[in-house]
Amino acid sequence: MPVLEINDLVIDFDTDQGVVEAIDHLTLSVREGEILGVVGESGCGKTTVARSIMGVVPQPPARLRAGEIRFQGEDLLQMAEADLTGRIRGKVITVIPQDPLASLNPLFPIGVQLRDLLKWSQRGQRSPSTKANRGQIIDLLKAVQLPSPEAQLRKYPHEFSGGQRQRLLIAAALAPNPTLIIADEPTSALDVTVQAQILLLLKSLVNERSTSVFLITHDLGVVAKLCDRVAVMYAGQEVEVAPTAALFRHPSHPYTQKLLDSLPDRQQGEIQGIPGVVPGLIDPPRGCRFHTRCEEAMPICREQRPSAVELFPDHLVRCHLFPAEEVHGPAACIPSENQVRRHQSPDDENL
Amino acid sequence: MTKPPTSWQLLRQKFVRDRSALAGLVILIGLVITAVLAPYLAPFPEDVSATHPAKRLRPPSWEHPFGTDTLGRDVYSRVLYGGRITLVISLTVVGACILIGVPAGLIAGYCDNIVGDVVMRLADIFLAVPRVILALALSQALGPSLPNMLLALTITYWPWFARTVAAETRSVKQSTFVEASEALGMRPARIIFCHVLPNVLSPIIVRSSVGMGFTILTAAALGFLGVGAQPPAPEWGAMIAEARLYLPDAWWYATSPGLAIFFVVMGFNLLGDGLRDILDPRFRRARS
Amino acid sequence: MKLLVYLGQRLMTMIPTLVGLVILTFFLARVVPADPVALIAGEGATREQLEALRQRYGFDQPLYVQLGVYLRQLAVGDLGMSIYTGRPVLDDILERFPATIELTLVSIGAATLLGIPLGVLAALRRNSWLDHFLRTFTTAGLAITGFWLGIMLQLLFCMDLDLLPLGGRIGVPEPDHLTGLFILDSILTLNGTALLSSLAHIALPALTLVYPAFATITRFTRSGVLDVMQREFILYERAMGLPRLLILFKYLLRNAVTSTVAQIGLLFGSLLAGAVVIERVYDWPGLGLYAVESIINFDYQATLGITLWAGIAFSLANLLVDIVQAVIDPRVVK
Repeated sequence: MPVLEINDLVIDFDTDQGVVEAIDHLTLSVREGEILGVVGESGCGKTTVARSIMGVVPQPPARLRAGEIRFQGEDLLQMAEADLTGRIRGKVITVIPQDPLASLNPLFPIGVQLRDLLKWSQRGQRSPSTKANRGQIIDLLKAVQLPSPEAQLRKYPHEFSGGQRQRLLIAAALAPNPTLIIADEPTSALDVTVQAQILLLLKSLVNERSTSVFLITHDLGVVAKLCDRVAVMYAGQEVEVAPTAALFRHPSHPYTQKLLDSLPDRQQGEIQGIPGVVPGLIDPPRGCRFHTRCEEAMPICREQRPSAVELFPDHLVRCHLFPAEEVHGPAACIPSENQVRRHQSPDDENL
Repeated sequence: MTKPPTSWQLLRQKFVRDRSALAGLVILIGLVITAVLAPYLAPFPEDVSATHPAKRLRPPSWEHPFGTDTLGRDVYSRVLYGGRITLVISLTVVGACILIGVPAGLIAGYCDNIVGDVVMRLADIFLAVPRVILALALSQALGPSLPNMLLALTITYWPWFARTVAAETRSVKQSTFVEASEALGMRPARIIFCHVLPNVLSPIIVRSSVGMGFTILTAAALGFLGVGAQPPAPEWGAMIAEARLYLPDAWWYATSPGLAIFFVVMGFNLLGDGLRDILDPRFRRARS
Repeated sequence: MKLLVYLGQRLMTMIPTLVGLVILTFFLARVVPADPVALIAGEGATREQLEALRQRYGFDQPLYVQLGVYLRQLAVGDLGMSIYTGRPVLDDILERFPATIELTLVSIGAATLLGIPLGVLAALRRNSWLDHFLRTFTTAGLAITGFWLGIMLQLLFCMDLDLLPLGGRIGVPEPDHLTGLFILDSILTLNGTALLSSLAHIALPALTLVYPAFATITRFTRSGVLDVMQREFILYERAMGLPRLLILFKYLLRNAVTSTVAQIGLLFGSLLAGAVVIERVYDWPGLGLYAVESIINFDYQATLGITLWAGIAFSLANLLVDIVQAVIDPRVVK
């Protein structure tokens, strides 16, 4: 059973300018021990999905219209707040936020904050004595390769560098030995040089413990290095979900293809962008939301949302180019020669 | 798709929806109207100076809604005329403070040199003493009269404007688009006028509204203590001071001017609050 | 250690300001009035009397000499003699200071104890009936003139209901002067009647001062809490399962009160100012009353002394507030 299952999630936001249809029938899952990458442009709803897993999307202005989020079988959306705080948050599901400086309380030393986080992550057990906690915290800091941990406990968040702060947050996220970590663009706020270190650290720590990770990112490079499977999101919908290598080898959804095309190292000549702009979600395009920018758009794309189709083993696409009725199994669906040739490049083998 | 509303339209929408800000505006419009039309609205306009000892200290009645005072004058008429004084005081003082404080603040905030330092130091000195005390001492030294009180109030309040403007200027100056303008060789005066001033405008507006209320309260205190507009001018604070001696019997005499002060200041505060809610977040968003 | 350095820095910036204040008040008294001696002597003084006064107070000396004399006197703590009371100004001030301080402390204390919890509550229950009521109540509190409120309270409680005394500080013999603060002294000397009388007498003046102070504190606390509630670190603490009460009372509160603390410093100044009129209304024998009497009687030495004293007190209060803020927020001390 997958660790996390998001089924048919629909979330709207009520704003002054109208109703934003932020998440539209989203379906995703995270399996045990895997790192799922969730990729998409800004505004596609990645952070909203992450926050709804944790149950920290304020309602109002958000409205949960339909769907469920099952964690090890239980629907988190139906769980009482006390239950969520008592059993789930900071215990079996933890978070690595995007901006480490903003996420740490500026007025308290990190030792105090880590101690509290650790204390409250012992689900239901009597909290161990302060001494034991201190030792645990120091071990944690060592595990994330923070130098001289004893001295760091008294320091305040603004006294650390960006990379060090992110290590602190990774330590906090791993401390309770969670089943699932939600990482929201964990390296966006960091320098490029530091990013690589942090990513390697995260990968090794997570693989050691077989923790599942829901990794949000807009960086396909991060996906390539870190993720076992990838889900591509566009305007509140998932459009393609596949194992990482498969996605890069045969991206099937037009949006995915465009995304990969726009990577600089695939260019010969001018850099290709994706024509058009991300649609506003107050009055979103009907049917497939990508149809306004899609070169292969057909009349049906304007009317009906495509269903998910298993194009290859474990490779799902939502696109009217691959209609459900015509696909009877993996062997029955072979993309056209044009599609394959256009999107393969000699570098594919080096992924 | 319909055109998105312009920022001015959004502003107006938000203002209308904020009921307390609207109430504040209504009160203030009422003040201006009664002040301007006082000679026509007051049943006994001559009571500003005339006296009718025979009618002294009569309780409220149809003829005299707020009763009469110790010299037989109609309190209601005097309160209406007092509104004129109040309006003059608030407009003059705040207007003068803006004329002095805003340029001073712009200079202090923009110039990182000794000129800026001196201006801020000067402001600090005036801010070191509570306003009433300093204004009181100044008024007394200059001689108790309305113009002198206005001068004293202005001298003691401009530093607040200067300080607010300086702080905003300093933060705007550090923003990227100002850096860019400076790098492009734009002259400081032009930068201040085109870039800094629009961003500083909203705190000035908010502070002006609140400042008018604050000025009225301080002026009333000074009037209560005897400096400021001299008798027989119907200044509200002075009226209360006089009325105090005739409590508890002539309660109407002390109550009405106080209520008048309360409503007017309330109006300014509500307006200021509403303006702050509307203007500040919008400008902050525009800048970021 | 960094804190001491910060304290030193702040003191250094405070001193030039105070020196500037001294010079300002000096000019206030000597230069601003057309003829300061005439003001002191009053109308109808003969030329000989004016001359005598001029010599006595050194007004015949050039201005910079006068300034020098004044500064030298200040350095030894000599604030001159009060014309009105005939005593050294410093003595007058020291005698009346405890009364004003007691009123100020009681008022700020009560306003803070009421204001912070209610401000937090209003923020947590935003747009509830409590929130709306408090917003109206506090807006009104900032619009009422202190002296008028005082008079109205006197009217109600003293004249109509005859519940509380009209004025003064105490109605029975004063308790032994240990600190000069009657309430504290009564408690320390176990003097029940003095305690009751002090409380009864301080009730209305304090209430009059508390109302606007409470209004400010509540409003700033409310907006501080609302502001902090949306910050990323609160979201993170919630997402990581910290209990709600812990977040509120430990992590959120400290961040939210920084703006309130700054306001309390300013409040101190406005309470000092408010005391000027309140003491007049309630006959409270403090510095405010002394200030008014000195100013109205053209007792310029006393006026200078009071203004200087007020300036120093206010500056020290702000200094204290800055220190508290530096303790709360370590980012201040860089």
